[in-house]
Amino acid sequence: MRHPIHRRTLLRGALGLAGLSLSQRLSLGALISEDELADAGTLVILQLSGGNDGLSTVIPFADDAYAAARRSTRFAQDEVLGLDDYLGLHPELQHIRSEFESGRAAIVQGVGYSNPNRSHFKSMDIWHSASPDGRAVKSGWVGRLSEALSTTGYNPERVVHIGGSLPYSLHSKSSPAVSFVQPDNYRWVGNEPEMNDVADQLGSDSNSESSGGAIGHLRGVMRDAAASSRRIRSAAAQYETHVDYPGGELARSLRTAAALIKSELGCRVVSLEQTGFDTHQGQRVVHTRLMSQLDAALRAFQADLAGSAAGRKTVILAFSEFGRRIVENGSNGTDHGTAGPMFLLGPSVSGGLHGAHPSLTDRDGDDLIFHTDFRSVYATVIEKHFGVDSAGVLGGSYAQLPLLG
Amino acid sequence: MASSKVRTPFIMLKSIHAALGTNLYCPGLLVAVLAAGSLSALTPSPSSRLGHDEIEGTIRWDARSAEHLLNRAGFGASSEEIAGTVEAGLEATVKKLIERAKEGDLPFFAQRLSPRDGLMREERMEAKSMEMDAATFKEDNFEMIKELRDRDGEQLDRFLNWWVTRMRRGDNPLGERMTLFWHGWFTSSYRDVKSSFEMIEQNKVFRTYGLGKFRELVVGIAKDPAMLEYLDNDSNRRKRPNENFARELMELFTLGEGNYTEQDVKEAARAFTGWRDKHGKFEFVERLHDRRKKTVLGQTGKFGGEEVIGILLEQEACSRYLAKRMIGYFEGVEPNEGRLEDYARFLMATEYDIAQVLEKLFLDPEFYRDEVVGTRIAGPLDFLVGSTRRLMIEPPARAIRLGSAALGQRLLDPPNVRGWEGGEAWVTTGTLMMRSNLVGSYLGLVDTREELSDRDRAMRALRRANWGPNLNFSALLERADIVRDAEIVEYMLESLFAVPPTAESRAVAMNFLESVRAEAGLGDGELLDAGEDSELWLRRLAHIVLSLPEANLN
Repeated sequence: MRHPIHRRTLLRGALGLAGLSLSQRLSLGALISEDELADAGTLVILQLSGGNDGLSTVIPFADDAYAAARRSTRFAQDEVLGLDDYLGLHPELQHIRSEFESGRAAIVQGVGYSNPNRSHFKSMDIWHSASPDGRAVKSGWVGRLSEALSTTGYNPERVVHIGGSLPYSLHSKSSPAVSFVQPDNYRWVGNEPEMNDVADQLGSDSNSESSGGAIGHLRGVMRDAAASSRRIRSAAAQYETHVDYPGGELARSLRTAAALIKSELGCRVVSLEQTGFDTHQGQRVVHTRLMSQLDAALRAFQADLAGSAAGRKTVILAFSEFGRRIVENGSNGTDHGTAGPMFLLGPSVSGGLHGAHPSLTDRDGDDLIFHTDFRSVYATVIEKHFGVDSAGVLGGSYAQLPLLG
Repeated sequence: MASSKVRTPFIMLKSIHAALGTNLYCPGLLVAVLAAGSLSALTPSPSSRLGHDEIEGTIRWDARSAEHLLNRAGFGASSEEIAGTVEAGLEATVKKLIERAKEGDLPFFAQRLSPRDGLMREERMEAKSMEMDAATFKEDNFEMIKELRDRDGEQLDRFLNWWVTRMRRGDNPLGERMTLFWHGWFTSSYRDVKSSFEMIEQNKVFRTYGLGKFRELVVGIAKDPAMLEYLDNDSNRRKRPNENFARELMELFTLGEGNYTEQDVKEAARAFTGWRDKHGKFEFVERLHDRRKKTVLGQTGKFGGEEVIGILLEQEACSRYLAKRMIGYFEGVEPNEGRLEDYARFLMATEYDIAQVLEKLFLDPEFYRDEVVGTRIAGPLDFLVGSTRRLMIEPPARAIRLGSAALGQRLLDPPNVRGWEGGEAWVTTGTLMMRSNLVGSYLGLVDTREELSDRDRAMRALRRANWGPNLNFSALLERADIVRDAEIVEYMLESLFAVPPTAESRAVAMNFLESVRAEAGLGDGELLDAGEDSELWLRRLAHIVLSLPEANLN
C-alpha cells in the first residue's frame, strides 16, 4: 500500500484550507509550474566517495595483466558475474547484472579527465564543478543545472541532498539545494511553531528582496528550510511501500529518495553518498561489503520506483572521484588512481557497455588512461534527461553519448 | 543621573545609549549583575578604566564595537564581559588580548601512540629475533596496529576537548582565535597524517609562532612533521622531487595563485628535497637533498628550503596575499586597494610581525565600520562556542566539537588543503535547523533521548554526560528588575545577538512571551512569578532567539 502525497493534492488542499496563512498560500501558489511537474524525471546522483576501485567493479577477468597486477583483490572467471568473455561484474552486483541483461543498465568505461588529480578533494572538486579549476568556478554543475531549471518558479525541493555535508556539485548562489540527514530530524525541535512563524513572515516579504547580504541569504535558507521541512517530512512520514529495504545508511536514504520522487514534490535531482571506498588496506573484504550494500540498496530502490510513473522516469547516475591504481600496494589494497567506470540505471537508459575497457598494458605508469570525459556523461544527462542546453551548464560543449533513449 | 537610573538593567544600556549617544553607564549596577557569573580574564583593573562611551580616535567605543572586537578576536562574549571591555577601553583591551596571546599557555602533553610514530619497529625487530612464523607475526601485528590506532584516536579526542574547552573558557581569546586561524591556513588533516602526536605538535607550532614573525611560522611549518606528511614533502627526494609542498607553499601559504610560475614550483621543490619526518621529528637527509643551483622568482643560488622561504617573503605579492587574507578573515570582506597597500607595506616594514598587524587592525576605524560589524556568517565553532559564551553555560567540549563537525567544521579535519571555505557555504537548510537543535540541547530543551535520533553524536555526548545547563534566567532577571515582556525580549536579543535585531525577530519574541503569559493568565510584568515555568519560558525564549537568522551573524 502506498500513499504518496502528490503536489497537486497539496496545491488543491492548500487553496481550500482556511488554516493556512496568507503567506503560506502565496508561497504555495508560486510553486513550480505544472509543465515542470509533467515532464519531471528525477536524476538520482549517487556519489561513491573515496575512489571506487573500477577494476574490482567491472572486472577484466580474462586479462593476464589484471591477474598479474592483482593478487589479494583478484576475482577469477568463475567468481565474477560475466558480461562478456573479457569482463564481469563484481560477484555482489547481482541486481545490476540483471538490469544490464534487461538493457536498463549502462556501464560507461574509462571515464576520467586529462591531468588526473589524485587528491580526493581536488578530484572531487573537478567532478563537482565540472571544471579543472574546481571551486574557483564558484558553482557546481548541478547548481548551474538547477539555475537553468529555476525559471519555472520557487521550488525549494528542486535539488535535494540526503546526507551530511552538501556536495559542491549542488552549490549555487541563486538556486541552492536543500539538505538533511534524516527526514524525521529535518525540523526544528522545541521551537517549531515559532520558527515556522518567522519563516512565514520572511516568506511574505521576500518578494521585495530588500534584504541582501548575509542576512538576506540566511532568511532565504530559513524560508527554504521551513517550506521543505514540512513537505519532506510529511512525504517521508506518510510513505508506505511494499518493498523491503535492507538495513544501512544508503538503503535508508534511498527509501527516502523514493518517497520524495513518488510523492511528486518536484525534486529534479536527489543526491546521495556512499562512503568508504578509499581502500588502501585489506580492500577485498571492505570493497565486497560496499558492493553488496550498494547492490541490495539499489535493488530495493528500483523495485520501489517501478511501481509509479514518476519512479519509472527516474535515472540513477553513479560516479566516484577516481579509480584506483592497477597494481596493488603492499597492504592488500590499492592506492589512488585515475579512470573508472560510471553507471546509469533506469528504464530510459540505453543499457550495455559504452566504450572499451581501458587497456591494462598501454597505461600511464601504474594507472589507466581515460578515454571518455566525465562531462560527456553530464552533457548527455543534461540534454536528454532535462532538455537543457548543456554547453551553458558545463561552460563548453562535450560530445554526447548514446546513454539515454 | 546614576541614582535615578539605578533600576535600569545595564544590559539594555547597550541599545539605549547607542540610540541616544549618551553615557548612561552605571558601575554600581554592574557589580550587582556580575554576581551571577564569574569575571572573565578580560575584566579590567580599575586604573585602566576609560569612560564607557569614550570615543578613541574616530572609533566609537561602545558595547557594539567591544562585542565586535571580542567576536572577531575571540569567540564571543557574555554581556558582562562586554561591559567590562567597554569599561577597559579599546587600547587597553587590544593590548591585553595581544599580551595574553603572546604569553601563551602550558602546552598539551602528547605521546607517540600511532603506528605511524615508529612504535612498531622495535616489535618487528623482536619478532624477527624470535623467529616468529609469518602468520603469527601478521596476526600479532594486526592486533597491535588496531590497539595503537584506538589509543591514538583517544589521545586525539582528549586534545580536541582540551582545545575546544580553551575556546569556550576564553582565558586567552586571541591565542585560541589565532590557533584556529593558522590551522585553517596551514591545513593538515588527521585523516592523512594519522598521528595524533604529529597533529598536536603542529598545533603547538601555531601556538608558539602564531603571533610572532611570519617567517618563523612558515619555517616552523615547513619543518613540521605533520605538514611534511600531509603535503608529501617526506617523499621529496633529489632524484624524484615531489612538488606538492612547494606548490601549496606558494599558492596557499605565501604568494597566492598567479604570482609564480610552474618553473618556480619545480625549482623550489628541489630546495626542500631531503626534508623528512622521522617519527614526529624533523630530519634533514643530506644525501636526498639537491644541492645544485635553483632559480626561484628570479634569484639564483644553491638554495635550501629556508632560503627559498626568505625569497618568497621578500615578494610584494606575499605581503599583499597575507594582508588580503588576514583582513578578509577578520572583517569578512576583502579590503579595498588603499588599505591592502597600506597593510602590505606595514607587513614589510615590520618583517611580517603578526602581533603588530593585529594591533593595527583592531585599532583601525575601518575594522569597526558598518559594512563589517555583525555582517559575517558565523562558522560552526563561532556559532556554538559563541552561543554558549553568551548564555554563560558550559556544555561538554565533546558535544560542542561533535556539533561543530556535524555542521561542517571538524577540527583537524579540514575539507581540503585550502581549509574551510566559510561564508555562506556554512549554512544549508539542514545545518540551519541543526544549529537551532544543538543550542536547544545545550539549553536542556531538546530531549536527547526522545526527540532526535541517537545517531546524532553530539546529542549522545550530552546524554552520556547527563547534561543540564547551570542557568537561572529568572533569578538573573529578577535581580536586575527586568520583568516586563519588552524588557525581557530586549535583554535576550541584546545578550544573544551580535547585531541589532530585525523587527520580525523582535515581534516573534514578543509574541512568544505574550502567548505563554496569556495561557498562564499572567499580566505583563508577572512572567517571572510562575516559578519553574518562568525559567522554562525564558530558556525557550533564548532558544527561539538563537534560532533566528541574526543569531548566525557575528
